[in-house]
Order: sequence, then C-alpha cells, then structure tokens
Amino acid sequence: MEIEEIKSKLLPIISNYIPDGIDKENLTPEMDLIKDLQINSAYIVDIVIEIEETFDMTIDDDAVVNINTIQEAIDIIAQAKQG
Amino acid sequence: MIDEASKILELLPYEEPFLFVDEISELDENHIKGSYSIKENEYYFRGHFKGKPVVPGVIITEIMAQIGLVSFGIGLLLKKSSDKEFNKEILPVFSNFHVEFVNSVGPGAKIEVESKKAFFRLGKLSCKVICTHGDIVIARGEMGGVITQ
Repeated sequence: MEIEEIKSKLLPIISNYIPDGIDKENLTPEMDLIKDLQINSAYIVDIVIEIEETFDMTIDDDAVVNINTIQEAIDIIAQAKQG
Repeated sequence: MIDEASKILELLPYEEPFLFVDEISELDENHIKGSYSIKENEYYFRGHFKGKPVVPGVIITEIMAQIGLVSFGIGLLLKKSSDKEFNKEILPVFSNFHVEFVNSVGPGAKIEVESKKAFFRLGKLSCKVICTHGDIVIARGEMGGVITQ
C-alpha cells in the first residue's frame, strides 16, 4: 500500500480525536498524537482499533506503545500491508 | 447474585456517600447487569429541584459508570485472572461519555443498568450502557474508561 493511500485513510481517523482549537488541517508526520495534537491518551486504544478495522490488520498490544507520532502510525501500517 | 459479585463489590474503590452499586446480577465476557436503589433522603434532593426531588443527570451518569464500566471492568479482570485471591487495588479513570437522558427518576427508585462491551483492550473499556427504572428508559449512551491496577 502506498504511503499517500495510508495517509488518506489514517489522517481522518486521527482528526476525529483531535480536540477543538487544535489545527486539524496541517497535520505533519512528526506530530506527536498526545503532546502536539492534544489527543486524550485514553483515546489511543480507540485509534488503534479504528486503524485495525480500516486497514484490515492487527496491531500487537506490545506495539501500541511505539505509536506516538503520525509517522510511527504510518510506519506500522506500511509494515503490516507489505505482508 | 453471581459468583464474582461479592468480590466486585469488595474491590470497588467507592464508599458512602459515593457508592452507587447495590447488586451485580449478571456478568459475562460481553455484558453486565446491576442495580442501585436511590435513597429517599439523598443530600442532592434538597436542592435538585426545589420542592421536586429529581436525581441529577450527573448522578445517573455516575451510577451507569460505576456499574457499567467500573464493576464490569473489575469483573472482566477477575475472569481473566488465574489468581483466586485477586486483591489488587483498582483505580478507574473515567475518560469519555456520551449520554442522553430520556426520563427522570426520584427518591426510592430502583435503577437498573445494563452495559454491553464494545471493546476491552490495554486497560481501556468501552461500552454501550442503558439505565432503566422498570420498563422505563432513564438514560442511554456510550462510555469509556481505563481500569488500572
């Protein structure tokens, strides 16, 4: 799966959890979900589940701690979709 | 009450005047049912409302959360644990809810809560919860929280 395709599906998932007042239009890969985008840490599991459903993949619970930035989410999806 | 019920009640991190669980009647991997009876002389009736005692929505929400999320989460942890003497201290963190209030209740009402699991993963429990009084729906919604130990 191409990176642009991953981003086109991933960014709307993440945007849904960004609180009002935070810019959702200019998301960049290095942005930290919690520190930069102010996403409630309790929603990280919800985001992981949506990623799994959208991309038809499974993310190991142990790997979730490594998803801190948008880029890290892209990487884990790209790795899974390469097979 | 079910086998785990007394253990769940023992592990709940609440006490009077902020304990809103009387009974857990059903529990499995996917749902829980429990109840709480509103006391006739709750402190909040003095002011809510003047001359017309109605259980505040925030209290209904807390009842739903204590039964539908916290008790459920403890029950799921008990089912997962091979430790028959599970005595870990539970700290629940309420993270999100969306509740609509449909009908009101007053003093003495027995509130029943049923919660169905959407997911329980990495300590985060997300559920659809409905609160009834007899056949009347009081409130319904979705709730999420983290159960840590």
